[in-house]
Amino acid sequence: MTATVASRPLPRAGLGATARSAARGTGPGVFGIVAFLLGWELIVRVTNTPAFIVPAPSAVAQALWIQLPVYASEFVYTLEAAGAGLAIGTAVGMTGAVIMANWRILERSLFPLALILKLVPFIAIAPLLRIWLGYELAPKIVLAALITFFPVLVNCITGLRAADPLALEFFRGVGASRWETFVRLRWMSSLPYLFAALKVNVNLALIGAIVGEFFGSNHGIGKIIDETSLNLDIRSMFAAIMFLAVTGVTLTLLTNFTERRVLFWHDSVRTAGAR
Amino acid sequence: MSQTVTPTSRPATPSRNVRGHVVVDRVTKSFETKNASVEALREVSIDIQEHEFVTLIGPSGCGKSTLLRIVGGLIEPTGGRLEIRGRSPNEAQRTKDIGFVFQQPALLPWRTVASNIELPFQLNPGAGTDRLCSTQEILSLVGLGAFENAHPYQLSGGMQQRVAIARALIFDPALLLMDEPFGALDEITRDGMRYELLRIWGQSRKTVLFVTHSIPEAIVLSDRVVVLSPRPGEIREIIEIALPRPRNEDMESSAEFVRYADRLRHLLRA
Repeated sequence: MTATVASRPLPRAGLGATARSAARGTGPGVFGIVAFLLGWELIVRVTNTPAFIVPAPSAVAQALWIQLPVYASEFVYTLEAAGAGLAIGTAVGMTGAVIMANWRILERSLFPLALILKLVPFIAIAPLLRIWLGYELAPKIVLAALITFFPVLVNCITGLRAADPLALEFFRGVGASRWETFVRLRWMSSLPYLFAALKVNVNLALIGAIVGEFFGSNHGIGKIIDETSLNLDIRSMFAAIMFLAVTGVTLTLLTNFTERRVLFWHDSVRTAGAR
Repeated sequence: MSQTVTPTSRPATPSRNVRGHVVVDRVTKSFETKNASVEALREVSIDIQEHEFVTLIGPSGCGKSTLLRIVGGLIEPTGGRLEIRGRSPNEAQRTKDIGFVFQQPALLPWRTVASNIELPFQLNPGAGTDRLCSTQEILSLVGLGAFENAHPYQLSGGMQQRVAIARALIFDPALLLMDEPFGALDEITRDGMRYELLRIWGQSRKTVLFVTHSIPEAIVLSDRVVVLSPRPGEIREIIEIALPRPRNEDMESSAEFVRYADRLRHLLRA
């Protein structure tokens, strides 16, 4: 029995295989996007729609090309706020999850508070944060942290409790300490849940930072969008939105790539190619 | 200690008046549900000798897994007394004197095969664990010599279960508790694994408590088979299996084997 199985090559997906399956998967998607842009261009040209209502994609791309250095440097500011907020939100969510997963009594007293904090529409807090924290990075960071901590908290609590019960019994059976069980089993078992939260949060953090910029800022891509709307510069506005679409896609791909590297052993990653 | 006992010098019938490796003394267990108390085990007593292979057999829900978990200190009994070499199961856990194999391999999927087998040394390291042999040696022993760097998901169910067995043996626990370890495997793999286990056991001669609901499995493996009745689990009978060792597949068609099988079938039906 062993001999027959041993002669079979190990089905570890290499990078080449990943790239090939990705190429097969993205083909129709790229076609869809190109078709959409062409259709949009055509309609704008045929109907002669003025650029201050809906600019053609080619005009938007042109504007983006000219503004790219400005947008990029402003976006760095937005990214800083989103990144710092995401880091804080993740750290707070994880710490809370560790505490709540270990002590039920703390879960019952703290979770409702966290839930209420999450249920207040975070936009409603933005003006308050502007008064308290001003026009610099701080209020944007707080907003991004506020919307990202809850998905981490909930997923991490679930993840820390998702450890294989038989593996837990094995740990107990050899006298493993609570700390050893946490580090070597519970924490690792929670990683798929943590990544699920992270994938949602990358986007949410950007939303938080941009909304923060809408409510008063000297910098950031959100400030650009706000300004262009005041000036009715629709073409530049579209260009900024297109810029955000591209960066959003890039960040998501980056997160997915990291997930595949870290969670190579998890079912969700291993079956993704076979879908 | 296990090295001094060779298969030939070992008495076929362990002496009953010697205090056993595992003493189960009138153990009872009931589970409390919302509006009732369910009795799972009633006054179960067994003495398991050093180096003995004992099997618990019984219908589903008779509490055989519960009994195994009580012996291993994973569940507290409601009543009765338990001793593993004169100590409580929890003390035996602390000194890593018990190895567990469950119905599922319960490996850590992010670790390689070798790293899974090394796991017991990273847990409770203060217990000053002995090592049965090198990781490479135990991998050869369970027939997975070429797989030390593979991950569990790259192995079949039977191979994963061998890793679990290796993980339970590597730190040289005196007592091995196995809860239907082949229960989730297909019939063909399962037949082969019995003799694999016997071969491995022949080299280490651990005391084994083994739960199964397969009659042939119980006969092939055991020195004694403990038959439990349906809930509440009570010992119906303890049968000595006097088949010579080492055992092989030819014995399964012998008249003696068939008699044991008939006897067990009768007891399980009654």
